[in-house]
Order: sequence, then C-alpha cells, then structure tokens
Amino acid sequence: MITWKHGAAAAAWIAVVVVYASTAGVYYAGLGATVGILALLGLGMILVTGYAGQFSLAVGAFYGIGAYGSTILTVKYGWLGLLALVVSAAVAAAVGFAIARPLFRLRGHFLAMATLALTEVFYLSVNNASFTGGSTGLGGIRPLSVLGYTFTSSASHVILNWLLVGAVLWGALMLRKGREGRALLAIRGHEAAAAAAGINIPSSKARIFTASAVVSAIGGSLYAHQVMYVNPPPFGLQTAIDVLMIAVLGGMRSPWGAVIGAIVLEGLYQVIESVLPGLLGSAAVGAGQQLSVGLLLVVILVLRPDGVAGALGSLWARRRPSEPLAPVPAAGETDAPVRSMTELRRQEDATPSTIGPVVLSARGLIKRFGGVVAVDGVDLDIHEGEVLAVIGPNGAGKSTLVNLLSGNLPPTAGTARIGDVETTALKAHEVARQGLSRTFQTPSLFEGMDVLSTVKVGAHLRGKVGMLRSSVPTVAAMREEQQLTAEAREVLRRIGMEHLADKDAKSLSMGQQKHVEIARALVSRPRLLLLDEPCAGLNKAEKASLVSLLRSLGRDGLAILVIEHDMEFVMASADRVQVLNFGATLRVGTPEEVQQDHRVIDAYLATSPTITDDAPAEVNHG
Amino acid sequence: MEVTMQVLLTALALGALYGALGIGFVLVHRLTAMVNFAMGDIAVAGAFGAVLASQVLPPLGAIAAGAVTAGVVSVIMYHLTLYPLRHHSLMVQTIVTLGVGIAIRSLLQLIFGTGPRQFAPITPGPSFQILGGSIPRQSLWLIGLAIVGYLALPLFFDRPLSGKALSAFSVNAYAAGIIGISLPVMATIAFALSGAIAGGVLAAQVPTSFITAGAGLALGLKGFVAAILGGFDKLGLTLVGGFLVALTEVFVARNISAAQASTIVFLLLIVLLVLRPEGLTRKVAADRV
Amino acid sequence: MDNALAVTDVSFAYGRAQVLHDVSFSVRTGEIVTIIGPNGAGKSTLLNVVARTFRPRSGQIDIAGRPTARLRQNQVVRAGCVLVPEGRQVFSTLTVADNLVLGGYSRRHDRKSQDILDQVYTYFPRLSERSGQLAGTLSGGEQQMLAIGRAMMSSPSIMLLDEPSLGLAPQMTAQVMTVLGRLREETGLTIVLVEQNAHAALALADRGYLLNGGEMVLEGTAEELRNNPTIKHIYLGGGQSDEPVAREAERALDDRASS
Repeated sequence: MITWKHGAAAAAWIAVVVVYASTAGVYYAGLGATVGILALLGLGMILVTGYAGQFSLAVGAFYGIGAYGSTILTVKYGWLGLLALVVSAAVAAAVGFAIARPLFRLRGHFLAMATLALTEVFYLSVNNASFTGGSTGLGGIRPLSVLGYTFTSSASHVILNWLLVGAVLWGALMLRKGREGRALLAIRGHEAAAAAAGINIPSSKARIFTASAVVSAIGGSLYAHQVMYVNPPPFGLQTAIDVLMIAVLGGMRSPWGAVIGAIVLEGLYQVIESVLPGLLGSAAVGAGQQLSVGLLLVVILVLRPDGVAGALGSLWARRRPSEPLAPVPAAGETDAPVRSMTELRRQEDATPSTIGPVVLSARGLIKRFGGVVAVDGVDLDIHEGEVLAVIGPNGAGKSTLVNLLSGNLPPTAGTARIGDVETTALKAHEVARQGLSRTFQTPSLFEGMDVLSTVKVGAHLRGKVGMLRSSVPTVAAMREEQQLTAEAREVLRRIGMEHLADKDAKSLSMGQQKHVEIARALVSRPRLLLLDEPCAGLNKAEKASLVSLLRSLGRDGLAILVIEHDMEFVMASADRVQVLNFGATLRVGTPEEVQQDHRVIDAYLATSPTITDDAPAEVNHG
Repeated sequence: MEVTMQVLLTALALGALYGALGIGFVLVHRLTAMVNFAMGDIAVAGAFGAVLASQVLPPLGAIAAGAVTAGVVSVIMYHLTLYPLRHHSLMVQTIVTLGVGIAIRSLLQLIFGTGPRQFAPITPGPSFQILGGSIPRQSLWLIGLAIVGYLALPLFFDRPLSGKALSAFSVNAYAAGIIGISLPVMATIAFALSGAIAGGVLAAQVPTSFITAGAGLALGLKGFVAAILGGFDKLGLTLVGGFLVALTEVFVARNISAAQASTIVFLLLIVLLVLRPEGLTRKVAADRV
Repeated sequence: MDNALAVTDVSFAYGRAQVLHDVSFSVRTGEIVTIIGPNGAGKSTLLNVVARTFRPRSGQIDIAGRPTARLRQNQVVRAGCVLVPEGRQVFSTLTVADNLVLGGYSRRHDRKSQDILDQVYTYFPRLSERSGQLAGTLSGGEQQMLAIGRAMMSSPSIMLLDEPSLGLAPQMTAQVMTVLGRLREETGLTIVLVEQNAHAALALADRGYLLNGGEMVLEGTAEELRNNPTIKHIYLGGGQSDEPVAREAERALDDRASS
C-alpha cells in the first residue's frame, strides 16, 4: 500500500515547500508559516468533524494548551523546546481523552455548546490568571531548536510547519483508507449501522478526539515559538470560527480541504487587511475583520448550503444523478420468464438444509415507548440453518422487535440469548460480537464510501488495526487490510455485485443498495442474520435471487430472520413464519399453516363489523 | 464563606437577566428545535438600541426601544438566514447563527467601539436596603420586567388562537403545518418575542452596570445554562435556573475570585450538559440533536 | 372539469431515492377514491406531496381546476384540501377541544367555527364527552376520530387520509370507514384514502388505484379491483389460483362485498 507514488508525492511536497521557503521574502514566508499552523488546526477539525461527524468547537482550548504549555515550560522553567512541545501535546491528549467519553454523549447543538464553553473556559482561565500573564500574555519565548538547529528565520518556520502539515495530511489520508478510518466514516454516516457492525463508537470517538487535540496542541507550540509571544485572544472563539471558515471554504470531505481552506482563508484576511483601513480607519481592522468573517460565513452558507452542507456532512448533500446502472443479474436469469418463486423454492429444496440447534432465543420481550406498547411479550427461537420470517400488518412491532434483538434498543422487559450468552442488556456493537449481523429497513449506507469499503466495514470485527496503524501502516496492518479486501470481494462475488465494487454506494439503485447491505452483514461471517424488509425496492428478478441466496445461506448453517411484507417472497424463502399483530405473536408455523390460519387472514384483511368480540354497550353507528 | 443577603439580592437581579436570555433560547428552540447561538448578541444589539434611544427618550421608553430593536434584529436574522435554510441540517443552521452572532458583535464594536455604555435608570434615587443588603431601584424594575414577560407569555400561548398555534407548533410542527398554520408567521412571532424579552431585560440592566459590544458571547452562554436547567422547555424553571446561575457566579466572585466567576459557571455548564442535560426537570431528555 | 383533485405526472425524490415516478390520478367531486399498495410503495409520500409538505420534482396538482404549484402548505389548506396524516399526529399535550379549535385555524376569520365544531361533535359524540381530556390519553380509535374531526374544522372540500386503519382493531376500522361514508353522503366531501388494508378501503371506495414501487400500476372501480388477481396476489401471496388462501380470501372479500 505504500508505493513509489507515495514517495514521489512526498518528494514533490518537500520540494514545493523548500522552494517557497527559499524564494519568498520575509513577509510572505511569515504568512506561509501562519497558514501552515492554520492548516494544522484545520486538519485537527477534519479528524473530529469531517471523519467522525462530531461537531466540536474545542480546537481553541487544545491550541492554547500547546501554546501556553510550551511557553510556560520553556520561559518559566527553562525546559527544552522540544520536550515542552511533547509534554504539552501529552497534556492536551490527556485532557482530550478524559473528557471525550462524557462529552460525546452529547450531540449536535449541545456538543457544539459544550465545546464552545470549553474553549471559553480556557480563554477566561488564561486571561484571568497572573500565572499565564493575564490579558497581556507572556513573552520572551525563544525559537524552537531541535538537535542543535534553531528555527529562527521565517523560511525555517515555513519548512518546519509545512513538513508537519505534510506528515499529518499523509497520516489523515492513510487513516481514511484503513480500518479505523472506515469505522469513523461509518459512525458519521449511520451510527446504528456502525454499531451493528461491531464498532465501539464511544471508544472510536474518544481516540480521534485525542488525536485531534494532539495536532492542535502541536500547532499551538509552533505558534508560540514562532510568534514568540502568546496572549489570550487567539485561543478563544476566534480560532474556532477560523477553523469553521476553513471547513466551509475547503470542505470537509478530504483532509486536503484543510490545506485549501487555510490558504483561501489567509488570502481573504490579506484582502480584508488591505481594504479595510481605507474604509474604516486602522483602529477598526480587528472588528472589521471579524465582521467580514462572520458575514462571509453567513452569506456562503445561505447561498451555497448544498455544497457546503455536503462538506459538513448534512443529509442533503447535492449529487449529480448517476447514469442508470444495469440491474444486478440474478443467478441464472435469461430472457425466459422468471420462474415463480414457489417453483424456485422447490428447486432449492432439492438440496435440503439441516435445521440445527437454537442460535437465538428470546422470551417475553416487551418494549414500551411512553404509553405505547410496541412489543408485547414476544417469544422467539431461531435455529441454525433455518429461515424464520416475521410478518404482520403495519405497526405490528416487527422492526422494534429486530431492534431489541440486535441491541439497537434496550427492552423494557424480557430476555434474549445468543448461544449461551445473555444478550438482553448488551449494546449493538457487543451483540455484533456474539455473531449477529443485520440490515436496516431504511437505507443505512455510508456517505462518501464506495461499495467495497462499505462492505469492509462489515468486517470490522475481523480486524485489529487501530487508529495509529491505520495512519502509519505496518506490514502486519497492510496484510490484514489485504485479507479484509479479499474477503469483501468474495462476498460481493457471491451475490453478484463484484463489478460494482468501486462505485459510490449511495449512487446505486435501491435494490443494489440493499444487496450491499446484505454483503456488509455477511462479511463478518455471522451465526445469525437479521434482515429488515430486504425486498423493498427490489424487482421480481432480484427478489427471486434473494430467495435463492437465503436458501443457500441456510444450507451453510446460517440462522436467518427476515421481516417482510411480500407474501410470495415469504412463502418461498421461509422455513417457519411468525406472525405479529399489535406487538404480540399471533401464530408461529410453517408457511402453509400460517397462510391458512383464519386469524392471520383476518389480521391482514380486517373483517366485517359482524365479528365483534368486544362490542361496546352503545354502538356508535357513526 | 456566607451566602449573604447581598449575594442573594444581586443574584436575584442578575438571575432575572440570565433567565430572560434563557427564555429567549427556549422560545426559539420550541419552534425550530434549534439553538440560536446569536441569542446573546441579539440581546446586546437591543441594549445598544436602548442606549441610542436614551438620548431622546426617557429610560423606560429607551428600554422599550431596546426590546423592539432586539425583536427586529431577531426577526430579520430568521428571515434572511434560517428560513432559507429551514430544510437543511441543524448543523448548517447552527453555524449560520454563530456567524450572525459574530457579525452583530463586530458590527456593534465598529459602531460603538469597545468601551462601556450606560444610561440613566428609570427611577433615580438611592438603592433599597433590605435585611442587610442593598438592591438598586433599577434592579427591581429589571426583575419586574422579567416576571411580567414570564407571566405574559403563557397568557399569550394559551388564549388567543395565535398563541395556541404557537404552542401547537412546539408540540407537533408537522401536524401544525398540515392543518394550515404557517411556519413563517409563527416563526416571526417566536423570534420577535425571543429577541424582545432578552433584549428588553438586558436593556433594563444597563443602568445598573453597563454594556459593551463584546458581552454577547458570555451572556449567551449563561442564558444557555439557564435554559438547560429549565430542561429547554419549562419557562418558570428557566427563570429559576437563571437565578441559580447568577447565584453561583456572584458567590464565586465574592468568595473565591471575581475574575474566575464566569469560568466556573462555564465549567458547570459542561458538567451539567454531561451529567444532567435535563436540568431541573424530571423527564429525561431524549437524544437531542 | 368535475375533478376536485387532479394529479398529473408527479415525480418526487427524497434525497437520492426516487419515490414517485410520473404518478397520475384524479378524483371527482363527491367521490371516494382509494390508493392501495404494499408498504414502501410511496403512498404516504404521494399524499404529502398533494398536501404540499413536499414540493414535487415535476408534474402538476390541481385542486378544483386550480394549480397548486405556487401555493404554500397553509394556502393549500385554505383552498380546501386537508390531510389526516399517518399515525394521527394529534397535539397530544393539548386538549381535545384545543385540537379541534386549532383545526379551524385557517378559517379563523370565517366566523362559522362554532357551527362546524358542533357538527364535528355530532359526528363524534365520544369526542364531545372527552373534550377536556388531553389528546394523548385517548385510544387509537378515538385519536383517529379526533384527527378527522380536526381536519373537518377547516371546512375542506377534499380530505386526504393516510392509513386511518393503522394500528386499529377491525371493529374500530369499520367505524372509521362508516363515518367517512357518512361524511361523503351528508356533506359531499371528496375523499382520497390511502390504505394498506385493501379490504376495508375497497369496501368503502368508489374507485381505486394501485401504487407499487412509486408507480400507478392499476386503476379501476372498487369492484374491478376487488376481483383483480394481481391485488389478491400482492396481499395474500401464493401464485396459483388453487392455493387454499386465495380461495379463502376470495370468500372473505365476497362476504364483505355482499353485506
């Protein structure tokens, strides 16, 4: 995975940086150094908000820990610059790690507010403490020196900063392609699906937040040694807004956005600085600059929310409509009319499956939402090698039941076990570890991921590579990645989707997306597969191939639960059928038994008013 | 370290202010499910409107003018930024309000500079002495205004059909739309009220202290704590929450360090959000986005 | 043009997913038309597009001959077309009375609100008994009555109903259908009924459409649709006409039709 292309790119990067540093005058070199630090901060934000999708404004605080940390340690205690930098970064990491878990229980606004408060707390603390120089700040910082070389000149700052930017950029780009990067993108894309794939969400969020804190802190230390003076204002809301602007300008899709955004932002500042004094007098430059940034932020967002919103990970990212893709060819499809599903089933049953012991067993499951009982005392057993279909009218509680079994929702009462392990109170990613995989009723693919990567997310639990080894891959890490890729391709081949491996998953048709979801669920080699309405959006041929797939998976020993409305599909694919109505089990039996059960027919069709078990005393003839 | 009468009295007045800001947050959130990060700055704009108006109007009139200013600014913000973005993610809407807040703050700074501004109180005269503590007359006006605002709101929400419609929107925005209640009209009312209450009460506070252009961020954060304590839902608890925030701040300022009082309040905000996001209410806040 | 509602070639996509493809249907004044179809067919979306919760990507919607392209949702309600949404969506923390009064919001200047309210209570005496109760405490069936009553308050000429039988016991469903029939008979209300419960819907309606995968695939009188093999197929599974369930279902439908 590390090819000569990487080497060439690195060489090119270094060349550009060195050339700029040597040819730019002092002013532009200084500017270049500043932009470098901004880019570092932007990269920090991309890691948390771009990759993991968490809206955090805490950058100012960590930036400040780095800057003030380096300052205090070198100026007041005479430490070595490099040591101070490392220790400050470590402090930032510790703080970040400590607050990450409680903090990320918050979402959206509340997370933004909490992180904003964090930044303000830092700002006020350093502003009011004499130890940190109060509002005047601290000066007398000496340039950073490493191994005898002192970074005094602006040109040297440019080289140092941009080499670091290059390193972090490279790490971020590698991270994205690795296991942990996929996990983060999955978290951002669809948390429930990520958890169902076994990703430990709080842990991943904590780690990336820590990484982001370290990057920001290093930026702060560099700032201190280059500006040689620190005071509170750069470490408050101002920086948070700068970084938001970088995100808005450069986009959050790729770490490159941080670099581009930083360059554009500084360019804007230069323009503002040259234009404003003429307009407003030199005293007004600070406020004028802020005003311009604020207005720009507002105007850009109002005029171009799609382009920017896509960058910030909203649901309404604008995409160009893709050309219609050929439908997935079903196994054995020809120009001949599609065989009826019943015939298909008879053919599949020529090789019968063996129904083994119980894999999942639930007793007395109840789920209440406020006053509504969605699941009312359901018992359920699924055996190895069997396909159990769960059917029932709308609102019967089927999806809720699946959510209870998969750990996406906690039950109000009742128990569930997978094998010997009690899974009642387990969270989704823990249940996944017990060998359960599932698909979702509404599309749950991940924004901005191709089919192959999406499927590889499903194999998360089969890998071990974490954040660091995703960014800086070792040989073992690369081997694991190759293995996961091979397994993902194999699954795609099995369901006939291999030719679509590199397409953006969300650009596929509904039917194909459903297949990708199933592939994602299969690649973890589960014992138990829960499918929530897999037929929605599929055409007849696709449904037929799904029948074959389910039967063949059953023969392989997989236990499968399917929620479906398509009765033909249910009859053709299921070994047993469990009918739910008003959250309770109405009937369990073979497809034939269920089809002929009066009560089942009634539930789906509703009877005439003459059948009234509980007619009220006064009949409202309406 | 005692909680003296003085601390209580000061906190009472300051708390009314924070509570009013909190009510501003809650009104907007009820309608649009979003947090208006520009709340503090809108209130400050109102206060400066009062400062300007005080040059031609008596203090009470100036305060009224301040309320109107803040209400207008709030409505303009809604129609220019939030209404066009109403179908976009809450994140986009949040960042827009952040931008608006900064724009307002820096604009005020450009126009009025960074120095403090003030104007005369409504009723001049010495402070009242109560049980060993003193409270300026103006503060009583402030508390009175906040209470009037708080009492008037439910009356507004409950009786006239418009008020009920506003309630309906907060209960079920989709259903409200389905039966023909217009979102832009309701939103205008909500944003206008939100701005007027926060701006009016802040303007009433100016005579007892002063106002600076940059005060919006801190005020907004403190009002936000009050709103959290009220569960982002109950107006009465928001006022109580405001009082608790102010009490903490004044207590810390007197007994520990005046400089770090705000810092401690913000730390408490973080702790509160993490440990008890439902504030003083009993219901557990659902996963709020 | 006798069409109370005419929907022509309407398409709609939610994000990337194309939900409606060139859907057309029409309803004459005083008619009851039902749109049936399996789950996920787009029926709810269709009603919401007509009610202007969403704007269609293309196509035209006319109410009493008047295009709605430039209207906002509240204006569509004023034009006489109101939606009774899926899942009732009552204002659960407001009283029954408040829910109803709010239903008349769009006509608040018309002065007939009290008369209409009285009329609603006549149709739904149970709501009158519970007028002071919080709407969230009513049973599913009562909430459905409340939702219909609330819609009536806007003096609609067209009422769109999204799966009113959802979660209701069969007896309650029957009561709801009876009320709708009465409303049409006694007030000339035009009704568009989206239902998963094909049986109940086809028993009430004059005409029907089958929506599947975002496309209108069938149209006909209620009688024609009741006897249509495709419909039986979709709802009851099994393919061959000698399967036991098809016979059973046919019998059940015939019983209903003749009662």
